[in-house]
Amino acid sequence: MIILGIETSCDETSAAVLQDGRLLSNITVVQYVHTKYGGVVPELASRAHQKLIVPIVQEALTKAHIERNEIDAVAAVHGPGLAGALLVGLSFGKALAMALNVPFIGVNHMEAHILSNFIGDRKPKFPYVNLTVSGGHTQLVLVKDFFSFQLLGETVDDAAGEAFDKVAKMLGIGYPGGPLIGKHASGGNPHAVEFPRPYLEKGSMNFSFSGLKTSVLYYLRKSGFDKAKADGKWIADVCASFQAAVVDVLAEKLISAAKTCGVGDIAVVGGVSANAALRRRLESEAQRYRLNLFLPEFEFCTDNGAMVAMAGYEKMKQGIRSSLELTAEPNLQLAS
Amino acid sequence: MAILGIETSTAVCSVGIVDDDGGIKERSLIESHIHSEKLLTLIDEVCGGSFKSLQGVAVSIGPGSFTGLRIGLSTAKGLCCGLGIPLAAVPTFQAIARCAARKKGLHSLVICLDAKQGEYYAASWREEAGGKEQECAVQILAMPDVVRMIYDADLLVTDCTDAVQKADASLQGEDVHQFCSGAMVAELGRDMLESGRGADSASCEPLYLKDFIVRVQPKI
Repeated sequence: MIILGIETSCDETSAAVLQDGRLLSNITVVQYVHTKYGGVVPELASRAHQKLIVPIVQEALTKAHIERNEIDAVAAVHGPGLAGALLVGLSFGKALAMALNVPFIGVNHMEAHILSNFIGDRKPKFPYVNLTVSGGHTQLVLVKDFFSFQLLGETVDDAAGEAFDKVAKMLGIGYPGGPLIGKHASGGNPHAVEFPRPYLEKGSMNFSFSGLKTSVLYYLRKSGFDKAKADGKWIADVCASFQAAVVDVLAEKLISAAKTCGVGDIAVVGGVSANAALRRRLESEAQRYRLNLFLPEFEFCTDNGAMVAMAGYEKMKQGIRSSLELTAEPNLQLAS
Repeated sequence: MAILGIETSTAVCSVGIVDDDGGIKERSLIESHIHSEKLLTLIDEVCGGSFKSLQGVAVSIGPGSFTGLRIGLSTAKGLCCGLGIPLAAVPTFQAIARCAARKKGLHSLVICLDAKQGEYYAASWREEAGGKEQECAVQILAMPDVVRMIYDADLLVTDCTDAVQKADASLQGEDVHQFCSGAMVAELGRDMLESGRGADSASCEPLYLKDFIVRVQPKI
């Protein structure tokens, strides 16, 4: 069974081909048009998807050595995400499926991220606890089966990745913030500044990063921070200290959720799961608590067509199909 | 040459097909925010569930609603990609002009659509003797400039009669939506494809006409 997966929910245009659960190709273009604005501009993202969708799909098919008539189903994300961006991939995917006379499968972007840990040979066993952490989302989920989830907690304000972006903007080090803060942090002292760890009330599985971001802002003001004159080592220390605070909270909440739910496997997905400090910390915590940790390969941390194709494949196996009247749902929630 | 035409640039979602024998089929809905949901259903209806005879897809390329154009063009690209047939990008105002002129039996008209923020997409269209059409160049204008264009034309076709009448209460306009026709897009698309003026479905973009201006917030 050959599935074409299409992902256009935010600022990555991606398509992938999966055959019987094995990935044949995954082509992703990150739209750099947003860099100078310090964040994703929805209209520009939609316009970029429109220019990229056909070349990306064609490249994915070519790399997989698959002709369009060999496709057995088309899967595309229909939410959550930016409305205009979603509409490009969704409209294209539905029309392609109709033209090829094959099933169309609408995929929830959050479900697809969770399934990014099923792309390789080593896969988590149900039930397990998953942390989705990206520029738009921070969610702790008990994954009971492929499409059976229990939301344990989520951010009450900013997503973790959003906090990285905003702090990077304050420091004037560029966009996207995650990789840049990670890079600066690698040469800094994580104990240089004691930023607060927002755990919320005892036992809470929710997150809050807005206060931490404000603490960084106050610290910069108090220190008389000037982008033009800032010292590289000083910026590295701030980045490392901020990153340490985020990593502490993410790691401790994930481990605590795993204990509460009594599971043996834990997973982290989404753009922030590419963060080296978070990966190192989780590896040591997993070892300490004898948990099996699952992290996607770097290629599948950020938005990608492979995870969409994987979700489409599992839905096809379960006989799940979508109507060609399926429309974009920017605020689509994870189904329980 | 059987060509499918898609018109989603306004609140009308219209699909038409013109075939070799001059046969025309059209299905339209006038309702905002249903294009993404209903477009393929309408396509399925006019095509009778089979794309075998289809030799090209024509899409109304703009200017118009960014969301509508996005849905129409992405759908057209998906069909072209799946069926391996060519794409034609039909100027929206030319399709509206020809449809209105034909229905009303007129030879000159002005089209004015709301481009938001006090601006209007406007074009004057004229058919010379012998049926030769003058190119329908769309401009972005303020209302006083649109009104000056209207004085020279037989008919005003618009989606913003109130704004026009605020500038000159004597002016009457016909509602544009009755002239948004998938079949007309198909007809013009067939002419384009037959004369080798098809579009590249990989790189084709809507005719946004308006550059998107990003307003950067003041820095912290």
